[in-house]
Amino acid sequence: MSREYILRRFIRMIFTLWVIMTIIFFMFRLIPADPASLLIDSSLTAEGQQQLREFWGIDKPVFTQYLTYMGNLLKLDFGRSFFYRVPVMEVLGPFLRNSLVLMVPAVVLAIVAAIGIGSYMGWKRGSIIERWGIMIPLVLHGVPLYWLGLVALIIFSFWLRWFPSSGMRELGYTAETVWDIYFNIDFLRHLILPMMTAAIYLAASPIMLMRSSMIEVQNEEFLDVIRAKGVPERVVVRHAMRNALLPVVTYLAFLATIAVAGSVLLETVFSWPGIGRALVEAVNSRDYPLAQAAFFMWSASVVIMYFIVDILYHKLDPRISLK
Amino acid sequence: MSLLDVRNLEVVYQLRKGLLKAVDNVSFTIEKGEYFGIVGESGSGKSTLARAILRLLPKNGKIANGQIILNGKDITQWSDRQLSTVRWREMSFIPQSAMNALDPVARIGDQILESIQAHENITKEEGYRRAGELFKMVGLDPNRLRDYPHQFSGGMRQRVLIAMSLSLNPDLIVADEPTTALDVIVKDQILDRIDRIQKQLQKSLLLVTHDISVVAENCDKTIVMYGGKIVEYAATGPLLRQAYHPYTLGLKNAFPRLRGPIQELISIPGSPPDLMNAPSGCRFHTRCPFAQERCIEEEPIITEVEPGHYSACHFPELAPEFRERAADGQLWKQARITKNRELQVRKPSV
Repeated sequence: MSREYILRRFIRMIFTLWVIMTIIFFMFRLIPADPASLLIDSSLTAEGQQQLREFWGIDKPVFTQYLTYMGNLLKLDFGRSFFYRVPVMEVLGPFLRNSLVLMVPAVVLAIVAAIGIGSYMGWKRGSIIERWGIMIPLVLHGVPLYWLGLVALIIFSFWLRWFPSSGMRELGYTAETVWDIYFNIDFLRHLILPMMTAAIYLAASPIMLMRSSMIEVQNEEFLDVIRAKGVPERVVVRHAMRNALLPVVTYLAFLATIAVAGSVLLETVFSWPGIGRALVEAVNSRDYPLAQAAFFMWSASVVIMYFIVDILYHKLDPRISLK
Repeated sequence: MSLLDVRNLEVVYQLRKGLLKAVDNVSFTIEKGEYFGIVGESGSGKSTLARAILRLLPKNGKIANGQIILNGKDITQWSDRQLSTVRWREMSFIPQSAMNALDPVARIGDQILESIQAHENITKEEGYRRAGELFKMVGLDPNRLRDYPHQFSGGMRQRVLIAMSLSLNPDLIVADEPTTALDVIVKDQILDRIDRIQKQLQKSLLLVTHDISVVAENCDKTIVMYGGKIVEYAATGPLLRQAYHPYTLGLKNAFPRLRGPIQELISIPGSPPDLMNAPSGCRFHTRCPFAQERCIEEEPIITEVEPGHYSACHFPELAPEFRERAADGQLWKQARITKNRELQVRKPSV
């Protein structure tokens, strides 16, 4: 893999993010509601109001605001939350962390499970396990995530009472350090249900993709040649999986998109204090800097995933030329 | 003891419509060092036969009857685990299409190494050294062992496969249409290469092809298959010079001769029989210009017409006449007419 190629892809990634942020910036300015009404108490004197406008920078023309915003963005400074009146990252940081702790393991679990289960089903096509088992991902594929979350809550939380129904920690708990929040049993108990729901939901499509990809590869002549060599069956399966994986890897970038979009619903259903919920609240309270930053985090995670998949694909398929 | 002894082999495919018998009661033997050809049209069962011998039938195919005896071991019902002791060591494989016969995402050297390491405990360096020697033998640069299949041309890939088939010095190499996907010149080079290696290393080679001229140039003995059955079986020279079966005569007509006067190519009318609904009597009767009532009613049995020469035609005594008349293109065109008339006659009864 050439260094130049990676650099070019990286520049393209930055460019993509810039386009996204520009669109988002102007989209928020098009919403017919003056954020000033939130920021500035109308009972203040005209002079006081003007001072506040200057403080928040909304006295300047929109285009100047845009340039300032982009300049700050380069320094990863997202500005100050209109609502909380503190730097955005201070508000969003913990939300982002919570989201990542939930979604990253879910995505990883989904990918690993999909590759394993999908290859097994493809390889054992026509077996009883495959014929009946395929219905599970088929159904999951067609079910909305919030519905799946609600069903999971009803069964495992309300009926079986195995897991708590909402939040990240027991009510009334206050953490001393970041370490405290995540590294204990109580957190794990809260994490399992939403994480498993997300993982199962996310795994459905790649399972089917991996399965059909495996079925396609199964008829390739090179597998017969490998079999004719007298190697153990697992070696044949390994070659088949390695080849069947290629179309699935492309899908992984798309999986990130679904995961990001799904996190809003998931965090709402499970009352998880993540970035998805933060975004919904930010939009409701017209907290533009906060909403923009949340959108940025989302877009960035998707674009980064595409970047990774792109590089991974080149590593996995020698036929792709490195230009 | 023969190297390979195939006895009364019957291979069936389970299809949605029912059972299809792709190979029907086939018997032959291959001796050590023998270059053996199987020739026939698509659908004649020749590839299925090769795959049955390699025990590489697709999931819906199975050996219904008969035996495959390799070096005195009856491998007909062996499990994959048992087969791994003879695979590649005693019997290797050069597949049909050079394009898909190698794993596209693995290095060539690693794929050759894999075939050796499946049976011998050797280091990667030693394996690569041996693979390099094999590469030299087939005229490839050993430095290219670290390349991937897509970096090779079709002809080079086929040479890679030949090199790989020799990696464990097996007694028998089964080559299933090894030159089909290649252009004429490369095809000739590859066949030459196979021929030289076969002579040099005294390997037994089973070559499956649809091209009777390939067999004519290379093989010691040849089987002609039609509709899953052997129709003629003899040493290649006598088989081509003195064919007994009209189908063999037809096949000969359909391929250009490299030497001698230019002749019009004559094709056999019609298409191979549908084995789900095989013709009665002699399976070739629907396309045979010499067919008679007996051919429709009675199935010919393969018999020794001359020492070492077997044919499955009811009229071996008429063979000299057949040979003479088969050179006439008009005759084969008439065969098509008879078939059409037959169809017309059958229609009212439906």
